[in-house]
Amino acid sequence: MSHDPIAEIGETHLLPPDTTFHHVTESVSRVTENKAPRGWWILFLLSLALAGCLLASLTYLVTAGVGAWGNNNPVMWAWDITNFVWWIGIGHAGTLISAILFLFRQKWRTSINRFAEAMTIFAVMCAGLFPGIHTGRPWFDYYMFPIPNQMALWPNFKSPLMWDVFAVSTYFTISLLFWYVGLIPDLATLRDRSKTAKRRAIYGAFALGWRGSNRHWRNYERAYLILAAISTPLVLSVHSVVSFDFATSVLPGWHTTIFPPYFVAGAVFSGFALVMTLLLIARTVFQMQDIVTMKHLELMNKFMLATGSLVGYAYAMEFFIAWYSGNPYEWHVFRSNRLAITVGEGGVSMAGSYWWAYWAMIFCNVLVPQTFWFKKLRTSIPWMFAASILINIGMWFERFVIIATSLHRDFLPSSWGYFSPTIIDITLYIGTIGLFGTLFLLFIRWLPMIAIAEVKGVLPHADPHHGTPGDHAPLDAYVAAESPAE
Amino acid sequence: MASDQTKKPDEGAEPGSPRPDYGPVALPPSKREPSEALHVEEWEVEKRPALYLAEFESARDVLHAAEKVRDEGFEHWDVHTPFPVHGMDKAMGLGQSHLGWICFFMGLIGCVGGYVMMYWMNGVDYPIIIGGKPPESIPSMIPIMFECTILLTGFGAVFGMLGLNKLPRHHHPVFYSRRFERCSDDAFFITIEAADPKFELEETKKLLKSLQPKHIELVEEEVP
Amino acid sequence: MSTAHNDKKGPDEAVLRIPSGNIWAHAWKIAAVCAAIGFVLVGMGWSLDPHRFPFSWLFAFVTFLTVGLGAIFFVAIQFLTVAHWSVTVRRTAEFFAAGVPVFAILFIPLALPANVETLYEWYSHGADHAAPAAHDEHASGESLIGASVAQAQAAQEPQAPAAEAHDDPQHALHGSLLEKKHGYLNYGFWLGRAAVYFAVWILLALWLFRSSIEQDKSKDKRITARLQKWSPGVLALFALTLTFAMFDWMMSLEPTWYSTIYGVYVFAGAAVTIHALVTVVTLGLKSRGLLGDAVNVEHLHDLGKMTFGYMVFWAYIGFSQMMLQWYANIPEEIVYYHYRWHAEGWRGVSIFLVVGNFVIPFIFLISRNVKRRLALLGIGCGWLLVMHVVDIFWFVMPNVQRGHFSVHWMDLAALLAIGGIYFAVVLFGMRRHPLIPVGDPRLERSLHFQNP
Repeated sequence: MSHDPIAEIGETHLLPPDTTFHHVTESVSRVTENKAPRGWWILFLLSLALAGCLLASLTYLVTAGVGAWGNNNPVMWAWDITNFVWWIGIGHAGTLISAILFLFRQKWRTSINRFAEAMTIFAVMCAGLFPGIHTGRPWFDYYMFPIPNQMALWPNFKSPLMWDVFAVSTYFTISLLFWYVGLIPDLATLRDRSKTAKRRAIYGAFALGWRGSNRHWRNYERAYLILAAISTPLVLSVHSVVSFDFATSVLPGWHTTIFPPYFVAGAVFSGFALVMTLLLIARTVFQMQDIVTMKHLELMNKFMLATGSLVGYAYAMEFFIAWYSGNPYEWHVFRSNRLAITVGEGGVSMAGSYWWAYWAMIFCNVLVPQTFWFKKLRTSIPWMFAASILINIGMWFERFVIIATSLHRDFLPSSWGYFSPTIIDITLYIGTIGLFGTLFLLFIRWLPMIAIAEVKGVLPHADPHHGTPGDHAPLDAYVAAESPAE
Repeated sequence: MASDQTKKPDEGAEPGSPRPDYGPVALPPSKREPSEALHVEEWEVEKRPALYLAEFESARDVLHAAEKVRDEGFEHWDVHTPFPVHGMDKAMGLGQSHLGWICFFMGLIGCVGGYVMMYWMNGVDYPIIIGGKPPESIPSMIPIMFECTILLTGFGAVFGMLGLNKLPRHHHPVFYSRRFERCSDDAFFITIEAADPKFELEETKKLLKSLQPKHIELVEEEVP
Repeated sequence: MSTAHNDKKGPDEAVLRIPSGNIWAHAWKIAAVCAAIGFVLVGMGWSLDPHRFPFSWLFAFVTFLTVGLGAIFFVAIQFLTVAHWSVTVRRTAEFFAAGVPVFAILFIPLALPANVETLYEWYSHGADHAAPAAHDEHASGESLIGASVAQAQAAQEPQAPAAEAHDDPQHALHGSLLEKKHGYLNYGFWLGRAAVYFAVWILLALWLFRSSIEQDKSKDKRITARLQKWSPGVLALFALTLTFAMFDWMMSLEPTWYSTIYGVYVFAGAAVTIHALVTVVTLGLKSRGLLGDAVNVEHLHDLGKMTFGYMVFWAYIGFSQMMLQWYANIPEEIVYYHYRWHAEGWRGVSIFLVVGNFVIPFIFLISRNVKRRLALLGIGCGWLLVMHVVDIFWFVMPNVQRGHFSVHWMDLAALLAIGGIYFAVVLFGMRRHPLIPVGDPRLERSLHFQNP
């Protein structure tokens, strides 16, 4: 068979070649049908506790006002926007996996896309919280939307913050629709397997009466393709618009033209890292090693290497141009506030206030992914777990570095300041992690966390020409390449 | 598909109603307990054939069978698979989906609508000049125009798809078959509906048999 | 293909090589004649208008260099993504990559001190002001702003030729900035960097090309494995060299202006161009009875999709740079758009670029039906190639005479000369090797590739 994997160039079957359709149905559906394992309950209660902490901090914040945060005069934006950008960035990997990899026919995505899309939706929810509360008066949030109000005013559409409102709400809506469209056939699977009337009613209602008709698949696949095709520029636009929040201003350290693609690359990078973290846990807790295989993990690590390198390229460009521009303010931000190595009369010293944040960022985002050049580390589960967490720490620091180092020393040295977080800053941030965890764990319990129909579609025998010599199949996507054994 | 309206049961079969194994004919939907619903004989139900349901072993078998059904010239028939089978559109003789056009026009409306909204709100109704930029400066309008385009295209894709597929629809006769429950797992089906002008109880069955299915079943529905 | 005996669709050897009677066997001669005419005209032009010459040459040089570099990218990315759809069209890109060494020779006129002096303000500045002045950051900060304002005002008047640059008020205002950059922007270092770029490009291009050619004969699958393994390294080197080369040769034309996205911007244009060019050349080969079924509508459809995608990416990058500099409106940045918008003629070119390189091809190429109708696809891709020339023209030529639009016959002559030489080399190479990589282990899959 010409379409079998070619071992010499590193190709292997994506899933064990004898995987049956029923096995896929069974191993994914049973997670929603069986009793939750103890690990799930532990994580769930932990997340719920953190979500409670979010609720308490929010209540305090709304009653006390945003003065409860550590924000001060030069550092007007701090953890609120850092967390917003961090969360929204995390969401991007979901769209990348579901849309961009779909367009590039990377069939290995089928084992992880549902998971990543759910992550997108919950991450965007957590992100959306921060702009909602950072005004201090969340009951006036409707001012952000172009709806008539008693002031007879309209939003200022020239403000990048308004673009953000449109970008993020569109992103949430489209991601939700994309996710739901992907879920329809799998909800039908759960409906048809239901043992109780309640399950059948609920899953059935959401499955919309899906009956796997090919006349439906035809429109369905076209809709999926169109959603993928529009989600791709959408995901680029969302983080580009987020980057415009900073880059349209004339603040040194913020105003640089590479910000849009750089933010997108960083977003995908951190999102992949979080997918990895969650996947490693879920795969172990629910024993899905035969559907999410080492090959999937290795390919994801390669993606992290690629996007991490792009982020490194952007750091290098920023740094080089900060010097090349000859702009003393720009160079000051990079040399003194971030890099913070001053070679002067007193020898070499770390004079900048946030040097630790900058170097943590460089370590986590540039150096850590470079270890994935080595197959041994790329396939080591403990290391990839550690690396995925380090990368997300690094990406949080990236946003913090951009925001705090640029703001805390502005053009007027008399107003230079320093930002330290308050306890409310910290509990709010930790709390959103709890909210995310709660929603995610509920998703895992109630919905198929792996796209059943899509995984079936990439199995060898899903190909109607499979095993017919001389009759060539239109698709041979069940092979995934990895680099040859070293 | 068009004549679906005429032969649907009195009420839609509720997706939630339990379905005991009482053979191919469905009961009128009932809100009773499953045990009560078992008393088939209590009901005066006039039945008529709705469709033939033929089950096949694999994607390959169902594809080749579909090619033959297509060549017989049936119109009201369908293939049901757990995942989209490549080449099935051709095997069924279906053309391109028209969803692209719906999305294109929705996107166009979004793009123009976004522009008009911003132009009217910031330029006409309450003109504001910020940052020295005139109310209708195009570069600053592009992000929102883009987002509006994407949003409406997405609505077009999802709701257009549901509309073209006539979904949601919870009461299709195929759901009366218990076998069909495996369609979302690992079974492949061809259905030929009684509404097809070429449908004849015996002839169609013979044809389906010649395709060597695993199983053939006549699904009946009640006469409204 | 000899291995696939049960393959009905497989192309026979006859259509995989250019036969001696085919027009493609003689195409290199046509290119060579163009080159000869171009060189004669450029030679005349150089003596008639020595100020214009280096700009025309740089414009033509970058126009075609980006094609060659794009080809390196095209080949490497196929190995990185282990793509099989592209196997049958990859060889065309490999031919274009193999022509890259020729640019090292074509660069010589640009490297001549007289031409560097005309092109780049920093050259003459660095020569006299190498001694560093007092480094008061705030003082230079002020002059920085002043310089740009003056620069913008100076745009109203024709700029003096660079030979008289020392008397130019603009020059004096740039002084302190150029002094700061002298460590990077000085002739010796600039030349050294160029040597590194060419060394890297020649190495990459020839390695990719020779490996593939070797595989034609040996059918050794390990070659594919090796190419896959090293393709990330190839792309990393490619990204860095392309970026800094474009900083050196293009961005420093306006020595006070800067943009961190510049390398990505040029890359995006190069990627569109190589995909469009591979499409056009493949269609051309097919129209003369070559390639047979080895390249069919499925492959061309995919090429069309990639061209379309990169075109949108180009627009995205271009918009990002433009929007941010327009919005912030900082003098030292906005001059770039000032010269390309508030100057007679250039506004038209800018609008034409947006409409011609994005709006029209976007609407035209978005439909699946257009991408699968080969004549229409050819028109779309051919149009994008023309727009690439306009794109590079828009990059380089506003600097000939800041604030004034001019087209010169020498621009066309330089395109003929450089394009002629490059295409002659590429087309000559095409005659000697199979038109598809016949030894690639994924070839058979590529032959049967179908769009879902």
